[in-house]
Amino acid sequence: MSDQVELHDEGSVRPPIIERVVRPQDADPKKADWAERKIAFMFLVSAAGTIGFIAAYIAIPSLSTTKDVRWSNFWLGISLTVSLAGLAAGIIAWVRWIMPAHEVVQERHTLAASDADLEIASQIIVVGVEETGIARRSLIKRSLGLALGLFALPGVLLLRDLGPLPRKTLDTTLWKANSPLLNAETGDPVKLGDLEIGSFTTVVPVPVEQMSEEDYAKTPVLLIRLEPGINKPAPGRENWAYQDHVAYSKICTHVGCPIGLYQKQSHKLLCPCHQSTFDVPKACKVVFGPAARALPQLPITVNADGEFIATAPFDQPVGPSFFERS
Amino acid sequence: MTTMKPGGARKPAATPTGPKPAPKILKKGLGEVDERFGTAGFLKRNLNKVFPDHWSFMLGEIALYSFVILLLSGTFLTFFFRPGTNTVIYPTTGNYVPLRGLPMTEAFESTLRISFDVRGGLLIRQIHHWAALLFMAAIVAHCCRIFFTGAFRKPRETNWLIGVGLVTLGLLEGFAGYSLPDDLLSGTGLRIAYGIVESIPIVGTYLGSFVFGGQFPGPDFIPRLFTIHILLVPGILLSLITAHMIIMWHQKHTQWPGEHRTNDNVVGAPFYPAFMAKTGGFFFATFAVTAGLSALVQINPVWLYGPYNPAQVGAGSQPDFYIGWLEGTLRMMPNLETHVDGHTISWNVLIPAVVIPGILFTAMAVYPFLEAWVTRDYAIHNICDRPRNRPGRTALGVAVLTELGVFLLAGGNDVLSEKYDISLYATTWTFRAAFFILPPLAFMATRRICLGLQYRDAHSAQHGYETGRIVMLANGEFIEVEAALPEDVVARMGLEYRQGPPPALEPPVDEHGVRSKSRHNPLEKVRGRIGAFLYEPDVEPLTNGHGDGHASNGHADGELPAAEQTELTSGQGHTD
Repeated sequence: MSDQVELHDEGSVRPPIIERVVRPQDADPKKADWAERKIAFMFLVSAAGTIGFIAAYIAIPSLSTTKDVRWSNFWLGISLTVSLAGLAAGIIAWVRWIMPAHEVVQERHTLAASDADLEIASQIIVVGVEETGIARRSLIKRSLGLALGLFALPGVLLLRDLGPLPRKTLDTTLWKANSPLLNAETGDPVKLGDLEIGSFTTVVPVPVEQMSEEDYAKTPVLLIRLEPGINKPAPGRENWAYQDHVAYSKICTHVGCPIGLYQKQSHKLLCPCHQSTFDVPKACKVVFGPAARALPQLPITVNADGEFIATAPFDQPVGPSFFERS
Repeated sequence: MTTMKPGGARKPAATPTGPKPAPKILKKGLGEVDERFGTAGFLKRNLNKVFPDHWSFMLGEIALYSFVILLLSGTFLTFFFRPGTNTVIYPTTGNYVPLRGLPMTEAFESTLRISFDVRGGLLIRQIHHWAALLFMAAIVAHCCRIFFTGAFRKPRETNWLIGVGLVTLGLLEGFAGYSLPDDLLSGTGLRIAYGIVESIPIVGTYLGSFVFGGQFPGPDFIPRLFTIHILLVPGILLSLITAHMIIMWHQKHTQWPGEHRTNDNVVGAPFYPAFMAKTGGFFFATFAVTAGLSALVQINPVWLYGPYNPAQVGAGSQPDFYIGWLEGTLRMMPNLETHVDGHTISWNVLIPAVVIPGILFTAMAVYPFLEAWVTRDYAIHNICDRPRNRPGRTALGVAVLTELGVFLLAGGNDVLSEKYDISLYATTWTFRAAFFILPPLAFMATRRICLGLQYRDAHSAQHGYETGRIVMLANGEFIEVEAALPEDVVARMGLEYRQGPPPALEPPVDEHGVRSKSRHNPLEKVRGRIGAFLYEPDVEPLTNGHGDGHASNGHADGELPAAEQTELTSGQGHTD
């Protein structure tokens, strides 16, 4: 190694230099002074940025309009950037222009100890184990194992009350026989004739404000009015639609996003999250995308007041699949 | 030897001069500390610590400094953020007019307050989000640097494992962070997360209920996520980063091959003061970039998405990039679901969202050990591999990155379809095909490119480079002058560190007629096959003409004998 190191100041407290670099400013004090002034200028720019930040903070005292917010964010951000960038540029220029650019070298010392030390360390461990007597005294070993093993259980047990057992909560929704179909936005019952052909609305069985978030998250239903005669009900579901009106769960059977896009021309529902596509007139079966199951259908009819009601709850859990789902 | 510093010139050795004695007051102060803590020995060793210099070594620093910015900006945000799921009404005096009077959770309302009522609040929020993106981007880039240069090899496997932990935790931390404001976009992300947890067989339903505190969305979830995001994960991140740094410091940084650089030394700048100051300056540079982005480029405008509503969703919903690849796997996956004995297994969710990331992170973690096992290379390595010098590993890395790129693009299949007016089905099927086709293609192409580059390096080290100067010899023959490459250029090629073929297998039967055990061990066969597939170069390793397989001794001979060289000099006169 030493034959490669060309330059090494005797008695230096620093690592040996292998490549002494002399820049113009190292040879010419005038150039070094000029470099110093440039570096100082960068620090002054930074200081100006910081003063600008304080000025911007005071100058836009109350954020009463979005315009204020925008300008406040702009001026605070720009002045902070100038302040930080000035510091960054100044320090880096200082290192590059003033501090020595020599490459120095240092030996890597082997991390591993000598064989003798390794042997001693191993023996210490062996002797220590012997001192504990654990090899001979199996009663200590076993009872300690039992005690420590049991001790892990309370930690797990304490996590039990993080949440309720799921039980059958995923299988049911608030929809019951005779539940009204209420417009999710207004809370008003949806009546026959409210929907134009080819349009849809989101409906819920009870006003949104009266539901818990957990109930609301699985309850939304899409009520869609199809063009006359195109609905092809699945076997056994002949009475589930009412005069070209069909109702399907809005919660995607893939991972549970609300399905927000209805393609009027092709009568398809598209989940915007992962593009699962459901064919509405064909019982919302999956025609594309990662969802594996058709959207659950809600059987509906119209009561004496001309308002839509459900005739029965969903016949299956809504939303994503889960292990206990049959 | 030539200096690589622009504008620099070498000077003969200075006359040896001993250092001046240190000022008494400093020595006294240091002495007082030393008597109590024994710091002088530590300082003596560590202030002189040499750090190699290369731009690619700064990627990890960017990650570190982004993390510091995240801690600073995040602490500010916690002073104002309220992680509550109680419904409040956005006041009619609220600064953001479009949402006045609307019900929303405390979490969302306080996020609006940070953005619109606290001076500098929006800036700090945007700095926090930009720094998070930069943190993950820098981690990924740093991880690639480590992988492609083989810096994970012995003795640095532990730091690689810590790194894999940091990537995984960073991903979770980012997801937890952008889920906290409880806006429409992040709420949809949490809905997806719950759906993914539900897909796990046997325990999924219970896990979902325990983690979220009940059915989705779960009243306890935002407060829990807050604790996870501001205490638990950052605490683990901080301790892992500390361990990562201490181990790096202790083992000393790797360095690129080059003149004077060996496996047993470090060439670079001393930690104090040059490296310390430069790295400090670099912190400010990183901070300046995040502040500049936050001043000029809007990020995560939750007020435009609105508060979370389980019945609503925004079209074109996209997660942050480090989650985007998982979005892609979910979108690409065909809709497989199995119904067995009253139970459902949703492969369509389980495979893309649980199995694929599980395989990726596990493969990352075991890779250093797998490579060492296959190549039988258990030596200490302190010199970075140039990616071209390890064609098999580089090709494998590029294949994996290609697959991740396919996932990421597939995560935006709706956006791509809309922007380029392509059918959504066509983009999805293209990505499904690309999943199988592109990685092998990337593997083969990368390996060829690496071998080609390696070949060229070895060739120019051996034969020199073509100067482009045509001269006429005395006998009238025209030749192009080739000049030897400078020694330092050849040294930087690191040709002696090239991947050779894996060690030869034992002969099936040795000279005493004893059957080799390893040749009939199935595990050894697997080892040989992986080795042949990944690590054996396709072309004969080039020699430098000296038949020793090493081109590093700097003998980049000119093609011409000395006598003809003389002719060349006179020949040059004719061409002028």
